[in-house]
Amino acid sequence: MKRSMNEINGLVLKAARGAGVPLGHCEDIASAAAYLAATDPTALECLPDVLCAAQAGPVAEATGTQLRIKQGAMSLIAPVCVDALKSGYDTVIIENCEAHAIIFALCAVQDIGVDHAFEGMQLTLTRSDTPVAAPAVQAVTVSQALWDALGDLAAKTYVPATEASRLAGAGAGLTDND
Amino acid sequence: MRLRRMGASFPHRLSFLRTLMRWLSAEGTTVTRTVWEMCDRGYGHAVYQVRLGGYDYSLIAVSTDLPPNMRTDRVIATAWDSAYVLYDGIPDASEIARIVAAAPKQEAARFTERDLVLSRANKSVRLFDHLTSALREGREPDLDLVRSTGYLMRTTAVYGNGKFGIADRGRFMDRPGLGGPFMAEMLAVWLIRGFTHDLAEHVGGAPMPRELKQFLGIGNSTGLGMAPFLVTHPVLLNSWMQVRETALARVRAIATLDADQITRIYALVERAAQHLAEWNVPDEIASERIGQLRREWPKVAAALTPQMMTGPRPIDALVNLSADWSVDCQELIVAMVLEPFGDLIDGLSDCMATPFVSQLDPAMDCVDLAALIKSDWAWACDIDYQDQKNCAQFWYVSEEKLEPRLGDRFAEDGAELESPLDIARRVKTLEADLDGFHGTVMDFVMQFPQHRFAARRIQSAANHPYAEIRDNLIGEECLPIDMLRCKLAFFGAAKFDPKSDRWTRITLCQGAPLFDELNTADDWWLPVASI
Repeated sequence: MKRSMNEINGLVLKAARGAGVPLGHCEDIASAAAYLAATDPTALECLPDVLCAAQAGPVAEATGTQLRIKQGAMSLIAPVCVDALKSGYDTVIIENCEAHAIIFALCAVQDIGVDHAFEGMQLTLTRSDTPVAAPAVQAVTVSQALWDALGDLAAKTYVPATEASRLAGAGAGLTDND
Repeated sequence: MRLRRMGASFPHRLSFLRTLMRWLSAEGTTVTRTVWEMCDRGYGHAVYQVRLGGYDYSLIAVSTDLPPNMRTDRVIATAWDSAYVLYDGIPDASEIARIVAAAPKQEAARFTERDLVLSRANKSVRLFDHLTSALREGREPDLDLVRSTGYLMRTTAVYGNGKFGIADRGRFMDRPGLGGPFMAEMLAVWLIRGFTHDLAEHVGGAPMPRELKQFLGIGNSTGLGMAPFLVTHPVLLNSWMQVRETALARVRAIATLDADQITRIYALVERAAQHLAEWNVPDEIASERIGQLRREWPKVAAALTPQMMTGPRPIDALVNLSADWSVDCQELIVAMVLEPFGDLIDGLSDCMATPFVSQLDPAMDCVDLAALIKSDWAWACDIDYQDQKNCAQFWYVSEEKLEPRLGDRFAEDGAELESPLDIARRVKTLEADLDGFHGTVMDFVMQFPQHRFAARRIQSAANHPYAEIRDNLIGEECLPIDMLRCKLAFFGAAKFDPKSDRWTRITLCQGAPLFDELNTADDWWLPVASI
């Protein structure tokens, strides 16, 4: 089924929260997801695994203008890569990089041009002057399995209704016959 | 920017509906009803076409027979008297058939990128039935009932920006006329209002007097679903407020008024007085506030002496005087003084939208982050969130309708799943961990990833002074109705009729130009009855 960019952004934000990702990172991952949807929708398929991975904080080592990220959950290290490139580091090395598309997308969202190179599972990012093209805004087809998986995570943030919440939580009247 | 002041907002000439009307007027737009397939009882569908900024748009309206027991203005409703889609272009028969089938299902259906806005509305049963009966019988309707209601239908949702598969705003935000915030939604609402007039005339079998139609706007019932938007779009909120404050600063700087401007302001004072006299609501608190406004307004009028109006910087003098009156009165004065000076301020409406969102500056030193907290966030950090009254409420999303709700933290389940509208508390929590930390913001959020969100808000607020609602949104004194009114006033809503502290009815487009009146589009600030 086709989904709008806003639907994708919104569901990924909620799914990330449901998976326990820190809120600021949820926002970043959601913006990256919308960008991915517009440029490489198949790359979205990795999101449930990325979000559900244990939220291990990044272990990083700085040497001069190089930051080496030795381990950490992708949902946490992707924003760190962007932070590093915005903070004056000219090279970021991620030693064991899976789901690298999220990093590329997050750089693009923040208008950061990067060159990259793989060496096995190691990803090296270097800042470049390559302009970042804004993707076309258009609905994209998202597999039902992916949508359901994200929906299941998002559902972890929903509160079941009670009669009290129906009456008081939302406001609004029960009839509209006046 | 405090909730109480936001909750005293009035529509003004930079409100989105007003801006849209000026766009339509400047282009000499015409509206054409191209399809009208409606049974005698008023059930069927219609299509209206309008051209704006070089693009065609169509409103497809679907009217259905709704049993009274299904008519509710809550978002949990599943059926409505009418449903609408604002369509991108001119729909062919198959597209009309698709929308006629899907629109009445609203959230339960899926839509396409050709669909820009999705909406639905219920009749004001009392007025619709009375008015159509009067038309049928050739008698004058009860004008008191018309004045007290003010609309034939009220929308209960106006969805845009990608909801349920409709077009993302990004698809049309570069188009002339639709680039401003909620412009597509406002276009839909104005067209829906015209449809309600046509439907009443069709069912009643006779035309309504023009003055009657001019007075009949479109109602709206708005609940909590709208409130979090202002919190989750801080940079956009800043744009709206900054435009308004810039406009106010410009008119306050006017050195002297000419005779025509003085005459215009006197006329607006009278109009506001009439509006206040006609604004009657059952809610006790709102009614008392309106009552106070009515008592204060003659003092405002009396203050506008010829000596003051011909003196130096008269608008500035009036705004300064308003410090002695209620917040509601102050806000009404602000909305009023913007009105005569379109040449000076209308161009600011181009700045209502923003392409920017909050960004983290990871290179900032934490000393500077701490300084920002000290200078901008004392209102948040001075609160004791362990005190139950300061965390009495929690925002959440209901599993049932996926809509925002507000709960009592100490009486209801679900607080562990609360939505992150507790901005103030988050900043205070960050402040505690920031104490004694040395390094950059990047270093800080690597060690404390839970603070990435709040760090971004703090930095963003430094460059966007109106981005944050400077109140505790989980405290027992937080009234969501204040957020609703602020946003609705920016839409152009008037006649706020609160039904509780978390939902309100309003009127849009009351006094707005009819489809064939766009050449006189710019003088309908604050609706007043001319019938």
